[in-house]
Amino acid sequence: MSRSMSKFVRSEKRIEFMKLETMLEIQSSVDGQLDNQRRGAVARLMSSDTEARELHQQLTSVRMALRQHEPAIPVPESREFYWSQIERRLQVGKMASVSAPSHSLAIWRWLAPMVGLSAVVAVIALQPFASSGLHSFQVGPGNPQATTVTFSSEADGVTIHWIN
Amino acid sequence: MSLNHDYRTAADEELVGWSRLGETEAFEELVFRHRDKIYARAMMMMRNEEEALDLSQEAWVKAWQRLHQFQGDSSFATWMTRIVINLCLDQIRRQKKNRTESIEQLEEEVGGVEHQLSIEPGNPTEGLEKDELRRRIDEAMTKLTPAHRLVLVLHEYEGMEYKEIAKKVGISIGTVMSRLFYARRRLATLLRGLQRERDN
Repeated sequence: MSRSMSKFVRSEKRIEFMKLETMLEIQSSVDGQLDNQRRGAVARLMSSDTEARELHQQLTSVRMALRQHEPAIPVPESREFYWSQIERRLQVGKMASVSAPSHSLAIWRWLAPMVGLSAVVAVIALQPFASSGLHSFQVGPGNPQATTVTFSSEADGVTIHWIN
Repeated sequence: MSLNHDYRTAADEELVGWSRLGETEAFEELVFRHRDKIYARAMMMMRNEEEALDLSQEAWVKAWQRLHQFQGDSSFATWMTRIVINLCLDQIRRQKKNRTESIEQLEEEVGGVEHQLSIEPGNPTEGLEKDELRRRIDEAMTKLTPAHRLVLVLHEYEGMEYKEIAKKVGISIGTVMSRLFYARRRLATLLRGLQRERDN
């Protein structure tokens, strides 16, 4: 390609690009998405350029046709059949949520033995103070679902609380 | 679970309230009222009956699970439409990952040849009866690529602005504008072609 030819092609592309840009500005004006300054520029262009005016008209008519004549596409299944499929999915979802442990429950399954063990250690460690009457304390489960098992031996002077 | 509520005459908001309490009959009434709109939106985006049915039903399941999130800022139908649109977008993204765009599609992305076509004066929809126009718009929509149809549906039927579409679809505003432009020019050409067919 000669130098002058290449220059010509570049200039053609530039003109094409600019034209597309102008067309997009016209479209933005149809969609009401131009600021006042640009709206004024597009209005001036349309008053002097037939092609710009025709493009504006074409885009407007397509926009109006689409908005006012949205195709109606009804569900191709009976009400009962359509609903039965949704209902079935809802049932499956419910069963899954019942069988799968919730996040908080899963955490509690890990934490419960730890809490229980800590409680046992605390009871053993503080027992001498309790028997000497220096301190009295109460260990209670933080979770209402937790259960406690108590083992007490007066001979050994030990009381163990196991919290599940 | 029925508590002697008159579902058929109740407002959508009442039905939502009862559904939240676990009344599936109230939810069924909501499905019955809005199923065509939700299905139509899915169909408009996917152009595949099986997928549209599956996604619209999935949307209803999601809605049931998220009823507590419905604040009533928009109508129930609008809220439902957004759910189905998001599901369709996810599906389109998944499909796009598994598909190599054809050269034709890539050309369309950047405007293709449509912007170079001469602009024929006059209204491309003129003289068409309402029902015929609806049918022809539907027919013409099937001839657009999913990417162009998606932008057109979000803008024209969901009333989203360029910026909103760009954010939702994950493309630049410039791409939204060029896709929208291409889709409209293509629709105008298709509708005009149909108009000519009818006249001959």
